[in-house]
Amino acid sequence: MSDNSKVFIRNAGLHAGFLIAYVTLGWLSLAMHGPGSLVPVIWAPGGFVLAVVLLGGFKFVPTHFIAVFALATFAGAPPLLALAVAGGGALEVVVGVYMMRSFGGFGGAFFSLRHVGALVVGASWFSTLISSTIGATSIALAGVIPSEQFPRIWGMLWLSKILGNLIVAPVLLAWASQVPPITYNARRLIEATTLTTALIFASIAIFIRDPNMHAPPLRSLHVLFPLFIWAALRFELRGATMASAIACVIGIVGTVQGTGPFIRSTGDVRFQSLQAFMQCLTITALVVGGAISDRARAVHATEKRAAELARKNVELATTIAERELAENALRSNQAGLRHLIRAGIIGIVRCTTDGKISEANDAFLAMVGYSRDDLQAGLLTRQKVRAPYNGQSDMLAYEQLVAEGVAQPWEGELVRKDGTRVPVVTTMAMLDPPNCIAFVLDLTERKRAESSIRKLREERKQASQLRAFLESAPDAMIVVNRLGAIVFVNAQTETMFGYSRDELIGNSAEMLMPDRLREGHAERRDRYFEATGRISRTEPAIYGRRKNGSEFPLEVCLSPMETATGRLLSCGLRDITAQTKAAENERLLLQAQAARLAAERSEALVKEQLRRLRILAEASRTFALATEESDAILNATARASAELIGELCVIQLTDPSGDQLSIAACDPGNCPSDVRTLRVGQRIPKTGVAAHVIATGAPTLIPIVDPTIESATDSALASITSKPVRSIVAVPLNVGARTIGVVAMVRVTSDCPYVDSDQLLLQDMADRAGLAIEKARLYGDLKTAVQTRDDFLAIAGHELKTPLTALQMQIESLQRLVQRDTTAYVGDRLRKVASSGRRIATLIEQLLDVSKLASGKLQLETERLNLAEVVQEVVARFSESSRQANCPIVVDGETSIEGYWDRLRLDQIFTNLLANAVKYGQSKPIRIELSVERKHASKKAVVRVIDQGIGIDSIHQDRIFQKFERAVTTREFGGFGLGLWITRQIVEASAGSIEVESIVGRGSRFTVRLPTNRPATRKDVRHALV
Amino acid sequence: MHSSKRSILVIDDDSDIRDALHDALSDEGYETIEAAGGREGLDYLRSHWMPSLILLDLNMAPMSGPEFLAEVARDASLSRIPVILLTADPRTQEMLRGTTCAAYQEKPVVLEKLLETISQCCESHSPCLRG
Repeated sequence: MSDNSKVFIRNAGLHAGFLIAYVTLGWLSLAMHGPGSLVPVIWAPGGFVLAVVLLGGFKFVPTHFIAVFALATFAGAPPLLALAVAGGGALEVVVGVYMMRSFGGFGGAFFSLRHVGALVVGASWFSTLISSTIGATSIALAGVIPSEQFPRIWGMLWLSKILGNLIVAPVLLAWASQVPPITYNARRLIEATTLTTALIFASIAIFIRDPNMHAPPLRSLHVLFPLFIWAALRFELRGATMASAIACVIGIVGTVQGTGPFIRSTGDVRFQSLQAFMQCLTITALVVGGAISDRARAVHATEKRAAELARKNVELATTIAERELAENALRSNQAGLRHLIRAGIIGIVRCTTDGKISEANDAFLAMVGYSRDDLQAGLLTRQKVRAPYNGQSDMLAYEQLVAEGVAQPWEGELVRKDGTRVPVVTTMAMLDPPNCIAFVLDLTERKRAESSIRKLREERKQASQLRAFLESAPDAMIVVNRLGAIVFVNAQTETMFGYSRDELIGNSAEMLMPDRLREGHAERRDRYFEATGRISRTEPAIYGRRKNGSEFPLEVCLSPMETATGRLLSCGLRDITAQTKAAENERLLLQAQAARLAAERSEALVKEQLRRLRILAEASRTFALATEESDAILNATARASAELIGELCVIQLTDPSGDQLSIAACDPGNCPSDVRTLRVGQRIPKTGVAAHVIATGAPTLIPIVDPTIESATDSALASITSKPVRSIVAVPLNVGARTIGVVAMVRVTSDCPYVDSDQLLLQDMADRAGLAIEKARLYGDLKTAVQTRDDFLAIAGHELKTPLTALQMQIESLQRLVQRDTTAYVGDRLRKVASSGRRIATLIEQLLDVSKLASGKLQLETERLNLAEVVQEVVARFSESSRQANCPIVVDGETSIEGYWDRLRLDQIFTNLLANAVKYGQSKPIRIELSVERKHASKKAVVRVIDQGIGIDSIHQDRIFQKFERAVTTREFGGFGLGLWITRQIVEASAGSIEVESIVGRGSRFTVRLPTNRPATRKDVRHALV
Repeated sequence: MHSSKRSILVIDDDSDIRDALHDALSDEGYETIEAAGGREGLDYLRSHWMPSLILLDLNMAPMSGPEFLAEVARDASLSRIPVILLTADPRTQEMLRGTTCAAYQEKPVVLEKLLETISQCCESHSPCLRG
């Protein structure tokens, strides 16, 4: 589709829409007429078409013409009349638009009091006069109405059209216009809604009532005025037009239906009054609205102008500052020039036109760097000092010189003797040809001034670039001068603080901070001005204060800058609310981490302490358990020392003679080879740490070994490690008062030197080891002593036994002889001798048993036998002695207890128990109870020997089973006190148990339990020694 | 030649014991021959009439009781002589289990029992065990 057809379709749409709207409005308006009249109260299409043509142009006029024609024809008007009416309508529109444009100055937007005036006077009162006159005249001429009705119809038409233009057109115009804009916020909308509601309610209350009721008084209409004024004041023309539209529609509807205050009048007057009132109200509202609109527009324009002026002021100030700078530069330049002249630095040269220089003053010579000698020697010529590219201007100057006798000053460069260039301005005058004189002015200073101005311009440019840069910076940027006044802010600053730029510029920067931070700010600012570089500040916390008083944390970056207008301080401000929260979170996180680390560290310390304790405890246990002087003690010492102190531990021992030294142990973790292969005896060296410690018995600590002193180490250490020793600590190993060796720690890999605490720890380890060795030695001595004693006992017993046997045999044979033929007296004596002999023999047997038990030589010869029989045998053997002691022995219980036992030892057990019972029985009956205990699969024979004798105190009851112990004094009762000990040993060797229950003075009960089965393993009774 | 008087060879390295046994056995009507060791006892047996009984101490030097017994066991004529071993060592019984002609008497010797054993052995001319 082409653009043309698009436009055509759009236009056709527009015109069709217009037509439809027009006809609709017309139809609606025609419905609003009073009784007895076809003329509507308000001709709304008139106002509509006026607004449309004002906004959309005259192209709608023909359409309007057609619409009116159609409408009139439709209403029944003959074609000629319809044409006349349509023509009148078109003319009205054209005149109305013309009035609005020429007198009202209407340019498409309806906003001013002037527009209102043009609308009321020109486009309402005047233009409608034309159409209503044409309309009424046509109707009258057409004979539709009698001619006497003409004035009435004419008046009704006019008023109707006025009202249409006055009410409908402004609504459309005001709402189509955008100038000046009213900002609609929530409050404004609420207000508008309230106003509209109030207006509708008031209008309805006034105009639309129950027709049966009395019409309200006319004064009720006054209610509308304040609402209209409200609408006009607050919502300007839009409000005013809307209010009049609402009130008018409701008023007309009400009045047409026959309610409202105007029905008091009758006939045409009713509607004329309504129309007049509506006109009045609408004009009032429009005038007020227009005035307010004008004022608002003026205010807006003033503001805009003020802002523009402020900007121009700044520009002006900048220009002034720039000019001052330039003037300053110029002044200094002029001063420099004066100085130059005063200093006599205008070079004067006398020369010829062909370039020979005959004379020159000092200033020229200084300028070109030649000496007077050079001049006199003819070395200084014009050709030499002339810069090559000056040739053209030089030549022109010469031509001028020759032609006019004087050359205009020209700028160029001279070449100095050292080759450098010097800018000069030269002028020449002819003296007497070919001699001439040249005046040369050094321009170096001027060039310098020019370059400084150039630089200044550059700086200005940079400053303005900087300004643009600052403006676009993402952070808020504020520039303040020495007095703290803000001279520049960027857009971000406005956003951040809520102040507009105009509110900030020229005010103190302190307005942007909370009151509590203002104190001392001036001094701080002075410091920042003196700073040489950037200053970033977040600590102590800096806060900004917005216009609404709220605070927020800031990061501030300050840097002083040199500008054309002096030193200024630029401040970059960043809102760090988010970062502050993040930083706080991070700080908490860090705290938590630190706490966890501390906990871990303390845990690690505890672990380390525990490790050390464990090592010490292990070493101590090894020491405690060591019963012989073995490598175990030394190895434990070496291992523990190495683990506690590190790195390498070597223990060297002297041999018993004290002149040889051997490596005894080193820690297995670090020792490169087996200790046994290193255990090489050597004479104790004269020097070295080990020799020193052994000789003095004092510990030695060498924190850092000087590798140049070889005597620090010795061959023993050298055989352990080939690496150079870095630190040594060595302590003596003392047993009792003797130093038997040395414990040395060496470091070969770590640089960490040993310290005093290491030495103390090592000495402690060595002392413990020494104690353990001493203990082991004492233990060994003790064992030897016990062994010797037992050996002696065995030999002594054996040796005593032999003659005793002979003695006893002799006694017995003597007894036999005596029984045959000697007196009873001798026999009695012999019996006593035999009894003593038996006692000695028993004692000797006991001693021998002790030595056997102690040396572990007791062995049980078990066989199947009846325990009850053995008991009976023993009892039978005691029949004699029990009779003598007057304590009868009774055996109770089982008569057959089969089991595996050693007959001899079983006999011994009961013999000992019965002997004690008889001995301590105080001549009271003795009972032996035999029984069997069954527990699970095992079976035990139980023998109880019960006496009613002196009894045993409970405190002695455990002791009596010990060696050489008894509950009674030796004086009262004889014996070694070995019987019960031997008994217990035998019982325990038979895997049985023995216990005693006793009450002093009431008697004792010894209970022996012996398993009946063959003992699986023979109990080692060697422990009995300990 | 068989003597009417029962002869007993007493082999013990302790002269007191030998004397005591000699005295006691003489009182009972036995003839005793004394030897201070196993070697001496063996020499006697090989050069004299055989005794009715041998009382043998266990622990002796240079020839101990068991060595003596081993020598005797090798000689069929000697092995018929009853031997009463005088010992305090309960293992003796175990040790003698292999030999056929031995009895033992525990130390300390109870004379009455010894005499009883001797008379039993002599009457039966056969080894008997007492233990």
